[in-house]
Amino acid sequence: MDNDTILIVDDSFVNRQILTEIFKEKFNIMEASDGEMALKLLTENSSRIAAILLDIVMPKLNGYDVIQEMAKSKELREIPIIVISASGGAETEMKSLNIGATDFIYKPFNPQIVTQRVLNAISRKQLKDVLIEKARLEEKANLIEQHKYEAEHDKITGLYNFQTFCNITNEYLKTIKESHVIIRYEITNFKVINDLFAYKVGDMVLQKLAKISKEYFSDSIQSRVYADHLLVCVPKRNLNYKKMVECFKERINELDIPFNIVLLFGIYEIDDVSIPVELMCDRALLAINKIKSGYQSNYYIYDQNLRSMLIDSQWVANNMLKALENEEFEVFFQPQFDSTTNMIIGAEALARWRHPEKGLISPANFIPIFEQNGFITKLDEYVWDKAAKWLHEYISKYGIEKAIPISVNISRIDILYLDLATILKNIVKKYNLPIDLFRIEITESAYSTEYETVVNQLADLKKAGFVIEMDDFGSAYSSLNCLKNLPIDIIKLDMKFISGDDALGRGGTIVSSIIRMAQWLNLDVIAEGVEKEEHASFLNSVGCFSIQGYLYSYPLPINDFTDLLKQNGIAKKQSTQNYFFKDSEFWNTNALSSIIFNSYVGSAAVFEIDSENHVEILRVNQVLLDMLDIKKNTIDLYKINFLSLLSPSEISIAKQAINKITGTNIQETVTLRFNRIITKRKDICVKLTLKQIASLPKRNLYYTLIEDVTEKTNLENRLLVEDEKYNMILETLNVAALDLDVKNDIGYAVIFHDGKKDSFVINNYLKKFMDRNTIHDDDKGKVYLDLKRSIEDNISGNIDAKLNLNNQGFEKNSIKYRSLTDKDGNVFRVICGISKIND
Amino acid sequence: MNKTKLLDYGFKYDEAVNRCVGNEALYESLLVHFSNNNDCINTIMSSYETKDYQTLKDAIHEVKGISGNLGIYPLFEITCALMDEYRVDNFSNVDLYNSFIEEYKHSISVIKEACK
Repeated sequence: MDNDTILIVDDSFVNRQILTEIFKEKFNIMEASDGEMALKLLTENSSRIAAILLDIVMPKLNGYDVIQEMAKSKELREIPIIVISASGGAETEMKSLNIGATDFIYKPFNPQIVTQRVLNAISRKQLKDVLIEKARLEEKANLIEQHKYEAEHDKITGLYNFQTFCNITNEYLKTIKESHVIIRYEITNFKVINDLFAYKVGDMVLQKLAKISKEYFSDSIQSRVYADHLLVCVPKRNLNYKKMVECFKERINELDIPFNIVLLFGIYEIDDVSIPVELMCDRALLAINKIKSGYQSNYYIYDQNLRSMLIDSQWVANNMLKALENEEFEVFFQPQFDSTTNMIIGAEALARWRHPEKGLISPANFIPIFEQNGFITKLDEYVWDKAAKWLHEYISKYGIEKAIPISVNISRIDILYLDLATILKNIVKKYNLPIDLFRIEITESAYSTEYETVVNQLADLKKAGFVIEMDDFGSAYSSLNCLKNLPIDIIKLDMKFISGDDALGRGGTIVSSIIRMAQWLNLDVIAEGVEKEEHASFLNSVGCFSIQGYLYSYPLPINDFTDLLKQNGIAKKQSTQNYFFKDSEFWNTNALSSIIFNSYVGSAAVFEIDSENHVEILRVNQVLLDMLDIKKNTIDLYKINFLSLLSPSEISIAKQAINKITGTNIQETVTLRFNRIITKRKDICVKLTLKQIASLPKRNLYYTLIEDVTEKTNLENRLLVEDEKYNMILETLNVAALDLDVKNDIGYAVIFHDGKKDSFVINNYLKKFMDRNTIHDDDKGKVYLDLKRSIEDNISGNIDAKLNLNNQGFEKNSIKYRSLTDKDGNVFRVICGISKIND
Repeated sequence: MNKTKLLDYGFKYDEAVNRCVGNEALYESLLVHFSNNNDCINTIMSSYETKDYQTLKDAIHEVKGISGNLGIYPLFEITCALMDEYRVDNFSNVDLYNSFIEEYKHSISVIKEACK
């Protein structure tokens, strides 16, 4: 029994005997005659000893030492110590109490007082023990309560966790008398919020959502299942789902983050309270999945059709292994066509499940389930092998020249868990296939997570020589990153861009832009999901000729596909791209050609002309923008069809020049006047030096240097006008004129006679004048001298001479001559006006 | 034991018996034990001779406690007086020491006498 013993420590036998006598009725007694013995007994019996009566002056170890030793031990320090000493001084008492004694009694003592004091000390100790124990129990209870809370609640939102929700709801539903619903809701693209901002923001969104939910469903049980999935069990009365969705939408977007948060609600209206709550929650999830599969609303109420889906998924999981063993999975090939020749240029291998009883099962019914449970890797490997085997057999039978490339799908999980390069290389080796005929299709969504693994795996595949196709391009939000970072050879572009909801009418532009971008990146594009003739026409018009889709062919069983391939022949896909700039380096911002383009001292532009003669500017340098005086709205420049700014005759000139250089490596210069342009200047005349830089399907690209020749052209035009005026005056006066180009030694003579004009060009005019019989011999000398003076000495003047201008004999004429000088004072022209002197 | 002899000498007999919770037999046996045990007086005398004052003080202290508890009042009183001197390390009062030794021996003899 604990606390039933008193230890009496005193070196005096007499004192021990007296004290024993006092306490023996109430306690067991232990005795020690010195400090050492006392400590030994204490250590051995710590739980039994209720109090110690301690003498101070003792041999071996005195009372003070005992007190101090006891204080060091966790077990002993709480035992009450009553010092009984013969020392009369307050000093001893103070010291004893200071170092830890509970009480102090002087010898000789009064037995009643000793008894009372010892009992008091023991009581105090017991009370303290009780209080400590109570506090300990309270703390433990709090801790248990806290653990219980943590075990039952979600840390971030404070809502119940899923297990607790199920337990509580299960019990609760047993007691209810009215209809209830389970509402499960989630944020679409919650992962994007975490990726774009930070996890803190993601948590904030969840907390806000929980707050809204607590306020909206006051009388409810609520839970966060995981991630962004929340649950609530609430009475159905007065619940208006549409208003609920509106309210949540409005309130969650009160958050100050630049992201439109979209919530989806799956509702299960409880019609049978006996089914487990977990199952009810699954059904609410099926309702959410229904929305995700394309249902145009933010909420969906679970119905029986969804239930059959759930049963199917369980059936699929139960039967998948057996199906693989029994070879129930078949490989189908969906051919890819060249729309210009209608010939097959490739095919995608797809898995189908032909069940002995259920027949052909749609991949939509089993692929997502396999992706979820990991079985997809087994199925994929099976398909790869079967597809390779078929290709091997086809080549053996019909020859390599008749073979087409086959694309196989790689699932996200394959990338994460398989050594793809090794496995696929082994398959290619096993069936002795040219590696470029066995293509790899990966989906873009694989890249959105684990991108390092994806990059490494694809690098290995690329290194091994595989052609890599990016499936479903544009379906995830990292499409452009994929293009930048992954060694993709072919883009597979889904037609969902131009089918379905395209309220803004941008789908077509997106598709054509992607195709053009792919062309610049030297990537092939295969359009998939092509179901309508207008899709095919559109694709054709924007330069995409590789088509896969129901419009051309459904996925076919191996035998049907083989037959089709034999009949249809095979078109080897010809590259329709021809770049004069190697590897499109022109579009690399660091390439030398770009630097030259941007820093070229003159104006330069790159433009494209499509088959319908639409001209579109693709790039301009700053000098051109300055020349056109465009500071802002440069984007407008890219929208102009420049041909529309030309007059018909100039269009024809431009077309001639373009035709001349297209398909060649020569350059051509052409001067054009644009009569209307987006600049402050009314019109502008430019000299274009054109050169083709690339030839693409249905469009060509050209590079041009541009010189502003507006001023020069205007001057030339003015001169033309002046020339006309001059001619008109000459005509009126019925005289002749001589224009001597001094520098080039050419004379231009115009002679009017009886309303007719004769023009002559006279080289070496001074000599010719003297040689010819135009000037009468009498006057030749003075005319020669005067003209020479006017040319050499810049002298203008007048001279009369007999001239034979019309071969009708000499007549007396007056020659007025005037010299024109350049800015240095040198004569460059001499203009002579000749008029008849009437007698 | 002859209680009168003890009372005559100055023992506080009843008080000491009370200390032993009324157990007269125990009290008297303790007196006998005290009178037969020479260890303490031998320690006092030898340490006094060798000037081992700490041992001397401890032994005097023990006598003070025992004599007080056993109600040997004359001895208790002189022990207290001696202890007061020794506590302040004054060991020069030879007369007081001699009186103490004498009183101690006398007390022993009284107890022995009372036991006859």
